[in-house]
Amino acid sequence: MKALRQEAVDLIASEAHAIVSTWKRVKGIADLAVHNAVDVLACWGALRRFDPHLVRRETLQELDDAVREDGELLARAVPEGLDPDEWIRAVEELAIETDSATEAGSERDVEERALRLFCELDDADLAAWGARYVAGSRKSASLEEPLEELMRGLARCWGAFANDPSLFLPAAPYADGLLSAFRKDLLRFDPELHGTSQKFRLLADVNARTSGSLDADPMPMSREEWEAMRSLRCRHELCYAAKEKGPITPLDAECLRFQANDGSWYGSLVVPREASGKVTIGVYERDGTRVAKGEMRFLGLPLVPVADGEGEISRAEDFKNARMANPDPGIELVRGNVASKGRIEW
Amino acid sequence: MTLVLREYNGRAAPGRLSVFRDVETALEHLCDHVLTWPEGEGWADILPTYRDRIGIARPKARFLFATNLWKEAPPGSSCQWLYDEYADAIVASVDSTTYTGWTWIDPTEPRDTLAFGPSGVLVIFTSSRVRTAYLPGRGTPFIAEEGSSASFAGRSRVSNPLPRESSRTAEGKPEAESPSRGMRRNVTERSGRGSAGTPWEVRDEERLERRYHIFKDCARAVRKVMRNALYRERGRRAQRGPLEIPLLDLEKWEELVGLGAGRPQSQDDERKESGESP
Repeated sequence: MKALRQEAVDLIASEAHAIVSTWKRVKGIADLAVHNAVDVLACWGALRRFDPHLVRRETLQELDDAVREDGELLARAVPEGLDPDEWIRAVEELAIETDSATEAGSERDVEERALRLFCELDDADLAAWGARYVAGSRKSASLEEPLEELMRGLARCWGAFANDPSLFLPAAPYADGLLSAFRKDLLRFDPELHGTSQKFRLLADVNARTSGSLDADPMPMSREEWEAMRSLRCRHELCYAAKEKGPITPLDAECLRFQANDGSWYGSLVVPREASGKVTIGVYERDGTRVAKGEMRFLGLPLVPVADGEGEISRAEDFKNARMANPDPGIELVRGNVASKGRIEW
Repeated sequence: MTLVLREYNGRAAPGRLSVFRDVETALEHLCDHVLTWPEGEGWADILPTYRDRIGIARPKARFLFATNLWKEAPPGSSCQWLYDEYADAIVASVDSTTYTGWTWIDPTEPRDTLAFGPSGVLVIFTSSRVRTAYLPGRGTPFIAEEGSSASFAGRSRVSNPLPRESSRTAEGKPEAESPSRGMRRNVTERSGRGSAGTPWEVRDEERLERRYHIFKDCARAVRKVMRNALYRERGRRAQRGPLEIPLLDLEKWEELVGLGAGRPQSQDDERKESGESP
């Protein structure tokens, strides 16, 4: 097992020197610099995502030095070098190609393209993570707007990915290999970097489900995960929301997490962008089981129960008005005569 | 004059290797890889005179050139020079495996051998002929047309010689958008390099760096495909999968390219150099 994990790390680590040395040679050549900047930050993030015992210190040091020396230059290049909408268009083409691939040659084309698009999304996520890391540490206000725009674009990509992750199944062996080498404490180490790993988990889930080795729904977040996620609006929630509720992209809906103040229950809240839609809520006990029937109120609004632990507010507009009116958006679950309060992590 | 196909008879192949089965197949591959964007952009940095001889950044110029290949009699008679440059790159990639070792059997299709060259060109060949040669990670699929499969079957190359780039009407007007490049934005076009009417002038060392960039991208794509195959096959095969292409840094790559530049490309070339007739 260790050999497999080490191989996964070595695949990325063995590219680090070539990537850094190329960056040093091409950083003055506009178009090449942009693409190599994405490579440098993506490689940097990828290595930090692995179990540190598997990554040689000198390899990481070479990347650390490049980021320390040219961080702002690298970060500025990232939004310029990435085009999320073109990636989404490529996924649409992949869907057509997948449907019609029948010959050996076209199957090879499909596999290569699925793998390429999966890796492109991961590189883009990692490069965006790196650019935000640099921008945050240097408090560079001029980077904020282009990076925010890039993050919105990448959120659209996540929506496209989550809508049909099975398109990427040809890349599942590669994704599984890398996933095995991720650090176990990634969420605590860096929640945003952990967010980039969720596409690997989602693909592994779909692959396992397709091959019949997984039949349960993925569990909601553990208490530990929740604590680490408290201040983070993480895109992987949208992935899970999409799996549970059907196709949801950030353009369609916002996915929020909430939790009882005493940690006894928690759940997810999907708020459609269109005011006419329904706000749906799923509530879980700490052990991950659905909360049995109980009266639920959110922001004072009663929920219409749909199933155990599931309810909805029929008009999103009501929810939004209540949310606007309430500076401290507390939520309330009433079970029998006992009411417990929680809060939404925006 | 009919297009004359090249043969490779060097140490890297078991016998005489025809660079494509016949003229039609050669033209199809020229159209689907060399003349199709965005992959063609990479070929323009690899093939010596391609960029200068066709207004490659203008889709219409490429489209007309490609259409003419199929219209003229015999087909492809005017593009011997382009085929020769493509075939040179293919032969060089196959031959380079004698000193790089970058060759392996396709785990899913054991009749196919793959050879990856320092230029970034991946060649897939059988015991007697080259099946395809492309720049991995830069290719595009056939664009599906409404009411038909995504393959090109049934459509004439005369009406649409570049089916991987766009679907077109019989009059040559685009029916669909060009294929997506994926996540990486085309900064080159935005910076004006290679755009219509703009002469492409770069320093020699920059040209080298651009060629290395192609190698790096293609090598990374191949490494991932190989790793994916290795993980997929694990448990089914006793031995470790195919070798891994190393991602050379620019200096080592320059050394390798220099090494290749001084080598004959095939036994035919060796004979030519020594004055022998084949």
